[in-house]
Amino acid sequence: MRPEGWGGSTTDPFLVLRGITKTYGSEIVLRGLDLEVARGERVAIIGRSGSGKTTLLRLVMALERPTSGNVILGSTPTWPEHDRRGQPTASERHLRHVRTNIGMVFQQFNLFPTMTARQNVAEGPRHVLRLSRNEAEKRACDLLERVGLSKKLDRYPSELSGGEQQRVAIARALAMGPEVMLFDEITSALDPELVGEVLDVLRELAVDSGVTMLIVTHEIAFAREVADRVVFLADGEIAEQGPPRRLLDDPTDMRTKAFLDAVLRR
Amino acid sequence: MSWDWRYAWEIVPALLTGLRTTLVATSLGFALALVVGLGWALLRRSGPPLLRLPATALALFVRGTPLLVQLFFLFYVLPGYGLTLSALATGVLGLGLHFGAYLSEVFRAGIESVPRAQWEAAGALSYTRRRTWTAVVLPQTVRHVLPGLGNYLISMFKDSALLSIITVTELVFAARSAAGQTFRYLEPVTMTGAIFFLVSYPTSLGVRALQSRLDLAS
Repeated sequence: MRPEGWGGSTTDPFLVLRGITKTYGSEIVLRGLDLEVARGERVAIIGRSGSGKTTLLRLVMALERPTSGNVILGSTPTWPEHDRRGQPTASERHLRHVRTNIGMVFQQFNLFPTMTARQNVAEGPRHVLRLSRNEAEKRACDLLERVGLSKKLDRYPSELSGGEQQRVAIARALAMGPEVMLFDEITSALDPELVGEVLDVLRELAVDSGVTMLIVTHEIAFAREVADRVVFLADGEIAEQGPPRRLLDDPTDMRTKAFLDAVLRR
Repeated sequence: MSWDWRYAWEIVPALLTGLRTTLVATSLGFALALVVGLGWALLRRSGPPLLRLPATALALFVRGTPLLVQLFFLFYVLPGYGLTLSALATGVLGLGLHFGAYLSEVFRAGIESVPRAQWEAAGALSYTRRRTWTAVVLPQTVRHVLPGLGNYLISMFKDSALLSIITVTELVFAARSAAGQTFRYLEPVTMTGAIFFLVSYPTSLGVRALQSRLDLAS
């Protein structure tokens, strides 16, 4: 059942989270969450820390295994089987295949410290997508230019600022040609003066790439600007979702109201 | 007994020939120890579960017994079971196994020092398991373990002196032969110590320099 104010632009969902529950021991992080995302849609996910936003992205990336439920991308379930205890499961090979369609940018960048910016970006195309060395290098250079780093191709991550590292990480994820991009609070670890350059890249990407995007963020203004739909998570559930203007200006759920008041009144 | 320069000069060629054997034994032994140590660490970490416990137990046993006893075992006991190796090959094998057991600990700690997030980043990029190891984890491991490896290399170089007892004609063996002919110990033993120091100290400086260069790049 879709809540009122559904912001998706098509009725044909591309990415589906169906009945996702995730528990760690006795702690319930997500409880039976359903979410459908259309191809090319840009969904911003907001909520207090601990509301399950990051876990949700990690489940889509198949870095976490749901306790129950499934993630379906296109028509492929991420977890096609069940283990003896009934928990969804999949082979390493299947997961690797699923992950080739998805890119993820992490809060802490997670660049490979022993590789230069260019190597960080080219490594995946070269060895996973099996492009020739030249093609992989060219793709890396093009993408690094696109994120404004054409002058720092051969710098190591330790020689780059946080904002630059995060832009390399975005290029690295894009280099794999993903259909879905996941952004996990990608500006939260940055000094305030570096947030802008990363959001600029993300904004440009949102406008002209056509890639489906799930953006976990605390930047409410940014969510309002680029998202087609905003999803508010609370207590492991979707408390409320809708077009940014509707949800951010006129929230109906008490928890959304309280959260927005707290965030915007800073 | 006073220092005899003429005698000292006479035994230099013999000592240098011994040093060459010492260096050969150390480099081959260390190469073997690297392979054994890394293989052991990988086996203990992600090998077949049935092999993990025996591998761990064996490493524990090797670390808990003296190198000299291990050399004696390889040199005097194994031939009784039909396995006869040259003295040098036995020495290299002994050094490789003994230090391999220590290096496996160094590698294990190095592998564990690679943050989980690095594995996840590689996973998110669909790297194969093999590629994750070779492109992401091991290069960071190497950086982390380099000082430890350097120290063990120098230890092994010095401990290779024990090979003289199983008749490998290395530096200490050469010094003892020289002394055995003349009953002068001052010069051969002093010079042997000096030669060990002249090799081990620059090596430790080299290891340190390499380490700071790698630090710069990370």
